[in-house]
Amino acid sequence: MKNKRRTHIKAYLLILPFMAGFTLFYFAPYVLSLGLSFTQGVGNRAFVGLNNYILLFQSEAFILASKNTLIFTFTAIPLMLIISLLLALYLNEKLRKIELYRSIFIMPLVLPTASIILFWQIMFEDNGITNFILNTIGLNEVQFLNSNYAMLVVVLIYIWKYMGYSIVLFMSGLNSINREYYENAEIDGATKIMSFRKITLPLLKPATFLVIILSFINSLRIFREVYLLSGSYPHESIYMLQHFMNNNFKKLNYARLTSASTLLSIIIIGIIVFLYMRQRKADVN
Amino acid sequence: MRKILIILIIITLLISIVVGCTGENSNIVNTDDQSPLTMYVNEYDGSMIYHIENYNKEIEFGNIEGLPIEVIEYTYEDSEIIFNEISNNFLINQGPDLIYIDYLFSNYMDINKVAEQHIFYDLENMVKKSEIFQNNELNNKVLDAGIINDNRCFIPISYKVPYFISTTKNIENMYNKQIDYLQFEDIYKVIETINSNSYLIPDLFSLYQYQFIDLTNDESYIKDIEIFKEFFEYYKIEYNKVLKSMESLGGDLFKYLCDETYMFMGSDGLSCNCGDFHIIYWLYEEIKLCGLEPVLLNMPTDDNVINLHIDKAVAINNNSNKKEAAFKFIEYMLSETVQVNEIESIAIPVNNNAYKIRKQNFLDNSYDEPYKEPIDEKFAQKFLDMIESAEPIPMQHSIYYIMQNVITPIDDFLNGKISIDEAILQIESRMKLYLSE
Repeated sequence: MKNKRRTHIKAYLLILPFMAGFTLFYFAPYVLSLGLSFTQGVGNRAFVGLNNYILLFQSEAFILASKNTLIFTFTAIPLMLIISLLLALYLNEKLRKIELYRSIFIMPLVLPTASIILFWQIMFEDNGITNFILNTIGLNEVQFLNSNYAMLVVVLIYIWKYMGYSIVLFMSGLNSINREYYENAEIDGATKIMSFRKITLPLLKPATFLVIILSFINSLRIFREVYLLSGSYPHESIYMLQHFMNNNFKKLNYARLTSASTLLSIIIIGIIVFLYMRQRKADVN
Repeated sequence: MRKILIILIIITLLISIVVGCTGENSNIVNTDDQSPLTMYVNEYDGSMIYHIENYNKEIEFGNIEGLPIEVIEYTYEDSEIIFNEISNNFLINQGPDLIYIDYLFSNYMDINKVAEQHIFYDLENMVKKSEIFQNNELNNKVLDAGIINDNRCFIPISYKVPYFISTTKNIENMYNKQIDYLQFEDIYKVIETINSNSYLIPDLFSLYQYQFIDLTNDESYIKDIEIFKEFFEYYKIEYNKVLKSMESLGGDLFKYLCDETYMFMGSDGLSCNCGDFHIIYWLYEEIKLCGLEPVLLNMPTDDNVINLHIDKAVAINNNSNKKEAAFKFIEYMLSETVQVNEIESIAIPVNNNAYKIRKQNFLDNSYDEPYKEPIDEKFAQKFLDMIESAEPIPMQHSIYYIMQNVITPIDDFLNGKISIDEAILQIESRMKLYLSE
């Protein structure tokens, strides 16, 4: 009993630095901003209850930003899951120079964002490479960054940037699956597709859940690229929640900013808790 | 475990609500704090720095009761960082005691949005108790430009009235007769005249932004789309002519270039962005020395009202605990002694006595170094009539901020990347987002 207590105390002491940092730099600011979301005004701050949240839902910009963020999330994440899983399956076939391919896919994550944006601008601006190719084959130019195609560009950037990370996670998940299952399935006459459905997918669930959670978090980070590409007021199809919050910060409208960020944080926590509970249920089953 | 989690969430919510309720009350006007006041000023704003140094000397010699001012100078390149720093300071109930509103401030902060957050202290009570304000010593029309949402948010210190100056020969060429008042449609000829020697005033564009934007109309934020299209399509042609000329001529294109007045001189056509007695006298003299006859005309506006632009203003931070001391500086800046100082200011004073003195000097050519050519009475009176009939532009600073930061598609149009119709669509979309955020 005494030993168990000692072990617990040691454990708490070890995580104390992290908890102190987390509390100081994440939890405390979060609580403070939560408090700010119930107030109005920077000088002469006044308590206004839920008024900021009510006004938020009346804001056309917020509605548009939420809609675009949802569209982006539910388009980009599934697409990226599928593409990265397929690539992981392909790379898992014991190819030669597998480390080289892995490095190539991871590279976008480590490159500076500003450099990446330069590349995408060259690809998709009005006088860019893509329009040049379209012109060459007799098609009309497209305003990729100032039309509804802008969402397509953002999804592409997102997949290109974060695909490598997902591939590595999937590959690690695939490597942990015992080869004997596939051998036994082959002996029993299962096709490759059946093996994939009945063996690979179920045993890949832990990795899949991790990829979904990380992809979801990363989908919120795409703001950096969009901001560098299109500024504070991009085309309305790629005006996201982060634009809304960033612009309100510039306008010193901290009440609007904190209420939007609180709402977003509640949704994110809700989704992650839901996914975590599903994962636990799957583990138990 | 679940119970602990729920209890933790409830405690967090309660703490946050308490934190929210106990936001700092900024009704503190004055405390015993004797530390200097703080104010951010761009290092190139020699005029304001000069006045602050003089103010600090007056305090040191005991001529004025108040607190000295610590100037925090910043470079133009660091402007964005500085204004982010100021924004962050506002959030934590800090920031400079005195808020200096110049063109840079308007570039980075929408004054109206700042006012909505009650960052500016409402100066109305202080104004009511102040002798200089109550003795009709100041131009109330200009001062009222500092009222936003019924709060007196800032006090203008100086203003400018834009005008167009040319020669009788040039006007004759343009209109086949002499005219003394320009209509808005005449802007095309104005641009052409300025461009006749491949010179262009870039700031003509920012001058005319106020004619086009309507922040109150939800249907369309551009006042008159047809005029907007016509103006910018014409402007684009002239803009590109200048670019081509600059490419072919290269080198030193301009005879005279004055950053503060945005003035370019051609052999036949001139124009000037700002209004000040010295600058206009100097222009008048230069034209006369060329053997030409100067003509003063208004900068045409769509509603035929002559606009005045607030040049500089000062506000007090709502979070400051030295508001009375800060207000003393504002009173100092509005005093006759400071405002009559023509060397350090090229804008028009708000102090009525200072304005009268400078007006008389202008009419009598009674300067320390008089101009060679005494100014024509009719010409001078026209300038004075323009100043005295000018009206402040509603929401001047907001519109300036919007043009610099929101309506950037117009640059894409001028550079040939998009058509005017596409630019208009993008502008309307951005304006809608900006106003509904």
